Amino acid sequence: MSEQTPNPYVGLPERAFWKRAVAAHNPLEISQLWQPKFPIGRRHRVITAGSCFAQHFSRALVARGYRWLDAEPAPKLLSEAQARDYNYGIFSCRTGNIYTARMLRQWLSYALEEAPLPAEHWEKAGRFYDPLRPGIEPDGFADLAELTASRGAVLAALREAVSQADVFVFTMGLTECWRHRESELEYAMCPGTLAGEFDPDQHEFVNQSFVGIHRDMRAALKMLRQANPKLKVLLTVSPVPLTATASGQHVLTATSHSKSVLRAVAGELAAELPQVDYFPSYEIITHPAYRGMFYAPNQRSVVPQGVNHVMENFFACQNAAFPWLQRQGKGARQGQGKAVAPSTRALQCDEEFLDAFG
Amino acid sequence: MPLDKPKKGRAGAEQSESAPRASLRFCVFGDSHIACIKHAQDEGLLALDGVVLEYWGAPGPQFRDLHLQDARLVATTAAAQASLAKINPARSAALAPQDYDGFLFIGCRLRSSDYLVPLLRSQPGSPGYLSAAVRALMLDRWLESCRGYRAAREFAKVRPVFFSPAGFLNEGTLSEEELAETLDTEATPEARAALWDEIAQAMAADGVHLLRQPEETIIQGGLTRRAYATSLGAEEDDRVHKNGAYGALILNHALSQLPLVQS
Repeated sequence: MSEQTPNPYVGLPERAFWKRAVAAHNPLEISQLWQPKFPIGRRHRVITAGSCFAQHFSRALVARGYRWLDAEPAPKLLSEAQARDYNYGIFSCRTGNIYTARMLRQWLSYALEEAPLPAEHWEKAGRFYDPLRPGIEPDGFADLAELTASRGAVLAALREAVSQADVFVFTMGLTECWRHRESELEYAMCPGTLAGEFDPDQHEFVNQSFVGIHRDMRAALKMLRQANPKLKVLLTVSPVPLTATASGQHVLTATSHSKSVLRAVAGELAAELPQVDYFPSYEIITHPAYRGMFYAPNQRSVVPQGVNHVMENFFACQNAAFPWLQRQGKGARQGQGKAVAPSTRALQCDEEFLDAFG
Repeated sequence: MPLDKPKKGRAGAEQSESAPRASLRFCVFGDSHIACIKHAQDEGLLALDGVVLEYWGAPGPQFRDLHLQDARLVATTAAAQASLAKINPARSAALAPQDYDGFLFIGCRLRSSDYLVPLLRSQPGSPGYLSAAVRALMLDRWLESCRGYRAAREFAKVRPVFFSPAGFLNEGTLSEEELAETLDTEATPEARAALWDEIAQAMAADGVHLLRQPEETIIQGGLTRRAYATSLGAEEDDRVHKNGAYGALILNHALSQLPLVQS
């Protein structure tokens, strides 16, 4: 008689069992949701891109003294509101929202592989709009030359950001998109919404499949790897529901479909590739265990407490997996520049004045 | 234009204090940057024939205590009043536009580097490129957020006002890293001229006359030549203040333009 083999569930940690990991807890105390593959510390240069939820990530990193890389910083003379209006400081580069895997692939192919840039542009009331990021300047560009110059700048910034970063956080947002039927150029927004003209003979609706998204993400990840072999990629899925769907389904079921596909692709990629990880911000906001408490009354916007809880989980899981992170970088928040301290400047002003008039 | 710094003297001051035929009263207003004009006067570098030159202002932190009230500038703290008492005892209480025939506002926390340097670096297709709409916002905010400029605009409704923004940072005071990160050292005089034109146009709309930083004082695209930097303290310590040679270029230019403006 052989000795009885214990079943594989014996000895698993608490987090493996719903009763003890979820049901027994106040939802705000559910922990160990993520076992990170790689550390992200204050010394790592992090870049962010993707759907609008990604901007919360960068803000939280900056607030905690992490090195979020802003490859296109706003001019200092702009107010905070003006900078936001012109999409400075939202993502690491002024790409605007990159909602889909194909859009990410497009951007990287332009920036890293010198793929031919689309000649298409949109015009409205004498202003020029970039179909890759039509909302990047509130009133569009003055002319085509300015649009081209600005697009060149963001591509250069993207190249620089990818080559310098240690971690790329990408938030996957949508499966639904609009493309040009012939060129297959994918637009950031449906033509005719913010600018441009919708033409059903030229423009087609595409609801990207698991296979297509997986293929585009693999291609994007390959480009990133070639540009920066040490780059780690952290995927998240935006918990923000679709504003509208063109799929013919109810927007609620369309949201469920899109997010499920994105979540599955993210999980698959994290399982396949050692340099790719998935952080479950999507689950923290959307899962029934949290009872929808992190949504605003419109059941779409995520309230600040939700963002905060997501980021607390992020840092808690990082610190649990890599305890040395807590000890590291305590001086990281201290200034790095050589700018003259205000008190020194005041002293110089006084000296100058006294020398002349004293 | 004088380039070498002459020996320190009181010739200019005596000229203004004793000139019997003086018919023009001119005031230099500003923060610690007014010192370069005073240095120029002390060094005898100013063409002050027929001009009574006076100063009004306060250095550094006290400059923030000068406020526009009822169309006059007044000092709201004892420290600022003490500074004023030193440089213009007769008018330490307030400065009104009617007190003089013309004004030079210098420095006043309107820094050329803040506006021109990022724009000189803005190259099509390179990170840092700025659209015309963003540039316009920057110019507007650069001027509007400067209390000294807003005062100049009010004074300009009554008397001719010249405005000389604080010059570019001084050569030799920035590290190589800072230079690489912030400056387009290849920026051309034409590029600077185009930006000065935009500033002049914006100021002209407010009735204020821009005094550009003279090209002969500029080096490395957007720095002030060492020959025009203050000689007070260690060379690399003071990034902003200028010397009498610089002050002379500015004030002499203002005075030469005043008849044109008046007419």
